[in-house]
Amino acid sequence: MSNEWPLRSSTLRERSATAVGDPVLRANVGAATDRFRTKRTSALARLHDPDALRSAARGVRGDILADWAATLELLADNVQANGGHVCWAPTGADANDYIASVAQRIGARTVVKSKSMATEETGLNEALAAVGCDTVETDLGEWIIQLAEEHPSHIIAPAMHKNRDQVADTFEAKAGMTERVTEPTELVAFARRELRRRFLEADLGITGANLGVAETGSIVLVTNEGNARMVTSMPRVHIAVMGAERIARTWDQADLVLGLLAKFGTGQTLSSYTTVLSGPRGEDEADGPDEFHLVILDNGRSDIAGTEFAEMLNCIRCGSCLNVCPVYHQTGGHAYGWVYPGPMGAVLTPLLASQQTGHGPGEDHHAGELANASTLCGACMEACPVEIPLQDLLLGLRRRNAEHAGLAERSMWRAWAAAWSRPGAYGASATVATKARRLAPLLGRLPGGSRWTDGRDLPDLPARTFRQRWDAGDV
Amino acid sequence: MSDAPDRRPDGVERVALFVTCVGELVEPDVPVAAVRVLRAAGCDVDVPEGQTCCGQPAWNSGFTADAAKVAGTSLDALERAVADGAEAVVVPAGSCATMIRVYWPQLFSLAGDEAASDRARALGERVWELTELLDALPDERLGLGSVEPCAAVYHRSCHMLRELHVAEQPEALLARVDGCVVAEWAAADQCCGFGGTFSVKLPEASVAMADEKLDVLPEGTEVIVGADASCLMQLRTRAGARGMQVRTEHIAQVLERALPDDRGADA
Amino acid sequence: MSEHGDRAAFLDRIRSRQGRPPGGGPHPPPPAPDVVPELAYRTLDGVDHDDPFALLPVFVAAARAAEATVDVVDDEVPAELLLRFVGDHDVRTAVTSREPEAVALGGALAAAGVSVAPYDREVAAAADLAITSATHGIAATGSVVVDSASAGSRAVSLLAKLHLCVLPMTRLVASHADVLRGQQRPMPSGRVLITGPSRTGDIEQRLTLGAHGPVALHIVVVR
Repeated sequence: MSNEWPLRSSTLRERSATAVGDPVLRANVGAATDRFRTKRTSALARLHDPDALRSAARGVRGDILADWAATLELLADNVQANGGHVCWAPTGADANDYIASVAQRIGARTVVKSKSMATEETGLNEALAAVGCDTVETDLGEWIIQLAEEHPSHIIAPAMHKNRDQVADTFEAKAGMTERVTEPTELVAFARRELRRRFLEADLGITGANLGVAETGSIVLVTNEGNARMVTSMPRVHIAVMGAERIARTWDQADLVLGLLAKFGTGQTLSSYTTVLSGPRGEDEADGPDEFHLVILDNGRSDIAGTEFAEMLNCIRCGSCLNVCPVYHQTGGHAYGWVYPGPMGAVLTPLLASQQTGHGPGEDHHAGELANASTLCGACMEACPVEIPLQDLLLGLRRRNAEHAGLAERSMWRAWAAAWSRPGAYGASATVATKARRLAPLLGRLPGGSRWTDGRDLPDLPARTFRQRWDAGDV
Repeated sequence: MSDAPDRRPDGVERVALFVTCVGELVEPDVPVAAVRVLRAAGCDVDVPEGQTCCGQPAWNSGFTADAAKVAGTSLDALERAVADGAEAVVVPAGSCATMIRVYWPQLFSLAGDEAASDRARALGERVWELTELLDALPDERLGLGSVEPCAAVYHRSCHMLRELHVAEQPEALLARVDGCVVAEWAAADQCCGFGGTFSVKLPEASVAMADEKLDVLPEGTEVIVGADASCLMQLRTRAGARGMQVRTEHIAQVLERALPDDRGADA
Repeated sequence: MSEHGDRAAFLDRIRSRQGRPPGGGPHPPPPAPDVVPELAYRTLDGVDHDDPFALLPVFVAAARAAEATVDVVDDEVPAELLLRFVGDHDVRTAVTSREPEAVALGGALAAAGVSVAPYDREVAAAADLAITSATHGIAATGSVVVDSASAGSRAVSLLAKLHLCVLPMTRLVASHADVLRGQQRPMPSGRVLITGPSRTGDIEQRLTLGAHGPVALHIVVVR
């Protein structure tokens, strides 16, 4: 995990408070997520029974990963039969080392990349810089973020926290824009000109993979801008980095998943480009890479299989859960501190992090506390195209955290349970509570009490509990 | 999921009320109103001795054994009530009803008590959120009259909506109350930001979530009605801190005020 | 073709853990369906999936909804349509894929005074227009499918400012399932389902056409 990520240098509360205190960020994130939600709703309205499809997709993803190893093996065999190379990368460092070695072998100077969360995870750009490559992100949002030296705040709209003026500032400061423009169309035209040049000069193109389809040894890339198509047709070499779980065995399965992806992601019927790539340039073809490499990345994923969190592996990275999450809605993605934000990030980050830090499950407090970034409202599962029960997984992570909780917290819950599991003691605590009502104004001044009262009044406590009224016959 | 849409409560006459800890300690007017409304609907209401809390605070914090210990106490009490003839267990809080019906079987199972898990599953069949039961009763069993005119909105709480799938029932009941005018609220089904310990673990985000709902209250709203006292407490205390002139009221209290006479209060 | 890293160790690790997700929670996973369902689009209700005449209006509406423009012509592409297109978009240079439909149209454009060349990436990158054919048109989504094996290139439909795609009506299918399902090796090295022009919403979610690829997609369906 790259040190630059704020996950371990700050707390979740600090990051979320900072985000909530930034009215521009909240306005930008709020407007963007609202639009995504509206578009998803109208895209789904074009289908019969989308809920049945979600349920089927959940079953299909479970089916694929029940036979995970064999499916990967078939994929790898067919990629090679198509003339591609395969790299098995147990860790992010293994993936980076392999990609850097390819870059060095071909003497790559300019590397163009299409947005890939897996390579954010491995810190690939830093690894390529170390071997002298100039790596350019080519998804517009990702390019903006790269120029601004920030991190993505959304898995499919990485710069959604910035408005047009902030983008123009970045282009002026970092991309040599001499005549300031702020209209989105003009900003896009500027990026097109700048990046077009880089596509044509690049030696190496790197993408992620939305899906690897085993039965034909293909990978599928879904984009709107066309940058992934540039990256996979202009440079001499194309390397795709695929999370090992992003697979389908058959095209029947892939068709269902891809059909849902665009609708839940950007709310389109299909994205502009659904690209199926099966190896390097074909015979008699005028473009396309001479070499195709598929890097299959584990990086902690296999640790999730077979656990109560296994369904997190079903995630297809559409971003839908971010758009509906009321917490993400307030904080945006940076509050989550690492690559993956929102509900899926709050689950996935702790699961991947323990592998990367060498901590045992639940011991990494910085990652683990992300499970608290939720009210358990359940909007995420309801919006998930593969019905991952995210709120249940968040609860599971909280249980895991509790096993490593400090003595004070454990003692508090034990005392609570001891009192409230005995009706007599429960009644007594009820009486104490009502007696305490005159003390209530003081509670807010106690250490920690301000966590409620900064921004909220204290609730009034009643003169008598319910049981006292019931027993008195006043009900 | 343990919701059983085909459950028919037409003939229910004996119910046991699960008061909830918030109802016991902070908002006793809510269970009081629930008792009176249920009586008005012709139910004989028992409040089983020995019940405490559903265990949700500890469960949501990951402390399974502690949660199971508390929940077990309430399970025992509610089971006794059912054994004594209660046909339905009524909970005047969507969140606690969800805890019992949806999460108790898993809670006890994880705590290593499969027998309790099975008992919880069986009990869950008889558990109703208050408005879910009232709406399912034949209309003639619950006569609702009028209240002083008030401009209201209704807050759809998350667990009720997404776990119990009780969506339309509360507003259907309110529609039967003359004088209570429920306006469209763009943020009706957004989370209030309470989330139990979330409210103090990430207080800034929690408050911002409440604000987002309060910011879009229709002009002239006098009261926010809901079926979860904890959500209402979050919204009320935030509105108070902002100096907003908006009250909150649990739906049981609105229905109680709408009872045509004192039919409910003859304990 | 080569393999790097330790396949056996990588897969053994997965094999030792994989399995169906455990149940036990309140939202247990369903079993996988016996047949993977297709997405059922409402626009295809009552439409005979095997009748291109019935699919045509569905296709046209969906393509337009995706910001493509569509002309339906009876036989050959009429000269006046070409001239209008060239004039409207100020087309001076064009490249074509190697598909016969595209080459023929290129010839007609050349006759109208446009400088037309076969695909070359540098030429295409500077061209006003690229002409390709489509192997399929997908009615439900308004997509055209362009195949590197038949077009002779992956990027011919990508680099120029405008993309004109010729779609014989008999190549209409109902849904993406009809294109994606049943694919077998050998595969074309690149196949793309194109749904409208290149676009981005990355700045304030404002739809902006022509991000990296064509700013406009014009589909000519030949009946």
